[in-house]
Amino acid sequence: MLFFIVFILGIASDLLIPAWWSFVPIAFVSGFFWGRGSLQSFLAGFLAVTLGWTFLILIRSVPNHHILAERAAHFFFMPHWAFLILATSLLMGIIAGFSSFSGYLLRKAVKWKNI
Amino acid sequence: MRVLKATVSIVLLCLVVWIFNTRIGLMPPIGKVLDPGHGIWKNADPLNTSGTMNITTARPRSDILVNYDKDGIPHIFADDEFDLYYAQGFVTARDRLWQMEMQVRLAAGRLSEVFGRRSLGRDIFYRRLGLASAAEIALDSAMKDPGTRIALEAYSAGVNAYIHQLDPSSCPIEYKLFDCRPQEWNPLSSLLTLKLVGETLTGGESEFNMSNARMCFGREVANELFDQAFQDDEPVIPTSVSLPRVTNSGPARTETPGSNNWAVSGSRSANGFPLLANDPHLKLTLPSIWYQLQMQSPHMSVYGVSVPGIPCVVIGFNRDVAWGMTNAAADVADWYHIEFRDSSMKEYRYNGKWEPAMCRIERYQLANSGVAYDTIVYTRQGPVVYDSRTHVKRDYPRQKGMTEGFALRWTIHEKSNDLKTFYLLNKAKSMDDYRKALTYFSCPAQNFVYAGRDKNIAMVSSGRFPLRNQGQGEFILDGSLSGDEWKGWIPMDHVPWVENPARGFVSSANQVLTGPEYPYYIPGHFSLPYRAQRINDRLSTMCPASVDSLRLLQNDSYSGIAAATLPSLLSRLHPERIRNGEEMVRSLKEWDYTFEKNSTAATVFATWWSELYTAIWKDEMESKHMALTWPDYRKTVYLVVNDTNSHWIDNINTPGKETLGDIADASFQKALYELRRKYGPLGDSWKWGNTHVCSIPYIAGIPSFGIGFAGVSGAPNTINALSDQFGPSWRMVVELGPTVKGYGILPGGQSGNPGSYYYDNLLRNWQEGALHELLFLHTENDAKDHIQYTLILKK
Repeated sequence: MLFFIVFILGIASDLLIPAWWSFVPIAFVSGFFWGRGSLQSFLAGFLAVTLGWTFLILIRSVPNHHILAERAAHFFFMPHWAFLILATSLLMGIIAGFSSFSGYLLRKAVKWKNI
Repeated sequence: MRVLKATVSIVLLCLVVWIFNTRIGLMPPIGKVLDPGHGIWKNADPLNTSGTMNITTARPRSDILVNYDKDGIPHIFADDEFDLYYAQGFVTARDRLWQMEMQVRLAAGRLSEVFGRRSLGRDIFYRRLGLASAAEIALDSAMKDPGTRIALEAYSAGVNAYIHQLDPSSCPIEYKLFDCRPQEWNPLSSLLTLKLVGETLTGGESEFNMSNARMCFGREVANELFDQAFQDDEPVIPTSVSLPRVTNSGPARTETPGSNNWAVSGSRSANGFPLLANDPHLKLTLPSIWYQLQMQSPHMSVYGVSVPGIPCVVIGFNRDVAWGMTNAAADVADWYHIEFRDSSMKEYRYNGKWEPAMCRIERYQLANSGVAYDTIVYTRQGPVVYDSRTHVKRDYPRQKGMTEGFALRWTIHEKSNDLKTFYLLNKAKSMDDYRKALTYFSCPAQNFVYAGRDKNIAMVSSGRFPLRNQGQGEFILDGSLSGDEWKGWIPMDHVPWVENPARGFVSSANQVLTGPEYPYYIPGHFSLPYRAQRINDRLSTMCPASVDSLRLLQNDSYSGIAAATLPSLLSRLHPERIRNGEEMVRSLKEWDYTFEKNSTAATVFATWWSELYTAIWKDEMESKHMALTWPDYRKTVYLVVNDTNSHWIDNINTPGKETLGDIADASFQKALYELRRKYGPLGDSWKWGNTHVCSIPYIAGIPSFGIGFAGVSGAPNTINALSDQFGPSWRMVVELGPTVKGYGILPGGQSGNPGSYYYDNLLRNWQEGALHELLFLHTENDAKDHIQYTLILKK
């Protein structure tokens, strides 16, 4: 549940809202309401955004034949475009995971229902 | 405990988001930059854009149609002149906005607003050069002329129309990496760009090192070492042409990377009409220095390359005429030593009195925060660029107890409307139009070549040439003496020119402009004569000339230096003294003197020559512990061929007296050692194409956006003068006739976006010396098969 909400809303918000961190509040709020444990909250947010961003980047980079990805990868001292896409998605995934985990922790702290 | 955990976690989360959202130093805001919806991924242009795009903008007077061909080159069709330049501004900004802004910031000394304190030194230097005030003076002239005014205003409106429809996510990639927004464009921005081009083409500061040489060796020896006037050079203007008659005899004439241009008359061409070729050599960059386009309105149709930021086509052709440029390499800037009364620098010595200087305080806003100031001191000779406070010319000895400075007198500061030259050339229909257009050109002087459907060919070295005394300007001049000032200008109708010479062609390759009969003294930073000699040798036997024979000539890599020196060097070499060098000596004996990519002999010669040059000059030039320019290759060729017993050949650091043979042996041995160390035993790795590594760096110092390559022919001082970072920045051949045909190629591509296919799509063919046919469209429905997509700028 948590995974799907963050995955769908994360993609939609990145396309609609001009702020890269739009998935952070989404993951946080989702973690607050639907997080079921520390690890589950983290993994759901992490996987949702990692996959979501990989998808979003690939729909731009594939028609470009990864020309930009290759040059940008070298800019960030990486040997191949795939590293940049992977690193970007993983990094954002970690932030998202951390965010839904924080949401879950807040729910525990304020003792919101069932906890 | 739970509250604490949650609080710590949330605070850490906010901190991470803040860090990823903020530019730290030159590190871009990572989160913003990598955002798939709005960051750099938005700049990943799809490879096969097609169809029609409509953009509604503020100002065009009617719809403007732009057909982009398969090389990404825009062909503009507009109903009137305003719309034409409006569209030029729009499409150029669409491909090159960041490059345009960087050029303006560099010229205006405003880079540190983006890059911070690291650019402050350069900004101070550029403001002191006075390009900004020169641009303001030029703006005044340009706005008084109805033609250039409309071009500048429409172009600015077009650039701004493009900027206004950008949001942060659609900006060029560099604005995201440096976290800034595009600046508004205005006519002054265009003229700053024009002045920056002038600055690039003006020679260096050789006066400082020449003055040092005079101090070390005396004036006579300095002149001997650095003389530019060799009697047997072939000047741009053949000595057989009639020369201006000067009644007031005035000062008599005595007398570096380069470009080529030439035109061949119809009598020597395959189709009976003239041919024209031009390949300006500059420091190569990505994006390319030039931007290709075609501009058509009911009153004109012109194709060629423009400079991003400047309206009009700079080098190109229309239905009736073609033109091109090389740098005339004339010295148009002189340095004056200024003695100030005291450290306040408010007064300076002039004709035995103290004259007040004008001071202006410059303010520099630094990126993020901080402000810096600099005071620029203006004298009657010009702005003081180097002075005792911070910028005494490093390599020039100070005079004790004196507050001194060096002021720059430069033709770029003079009132002129250089843009009008291009404005008129774009519309020219005949040689008369071309000659009229050139009278507006000022700085720095250029060799303008012409070929027309009227079957005329011509070459004019046009621009403002200062009237100087013999030898004036070779060394630092004395700012306290009115006698050291310029005496006026060479009259426009006396500048060097030639039309339809009997030999059937005109050519230039930055060599000395005129022969000894020319009545004015024009000093310069002229190139060595070898390219020019080769061009003239080939053209004089090329009949009939064709587009392809001229293309091959542009790619010619024959080395005049090798041809002149190798027989003498080989005759003095003692092969028995060289260990394992027989094969290399044999390859040199069989060599045809061309720097072709498959030649091993070219690599051996280039390395040997470089070692020999060092061996001849290093001992004397480094013995003085002062910044000295070493004598050029021509002087070295002269020693090796004509003056083999010269005292310069001896190594002054050894007790014995070395002969040319000794130096040749030692340098050959050293060259072989170096080559074996770098490339292993003699083999394919020694081929010129492998050892001659070139690179085209990106303009704003991001190494990963630049490109390195090898496997190409050509070398400095050959017609295809490709060195590690310099080379033909545009190659063009135009065949005039009932229907004009153009061929050309850029070392890169049209787009300034490193994420675009068009960033470097032309590079490979450029490396191989190929030319692309330039689509000269007559109507907007022409050559539909070659059109990739169409852009319509709507009202």
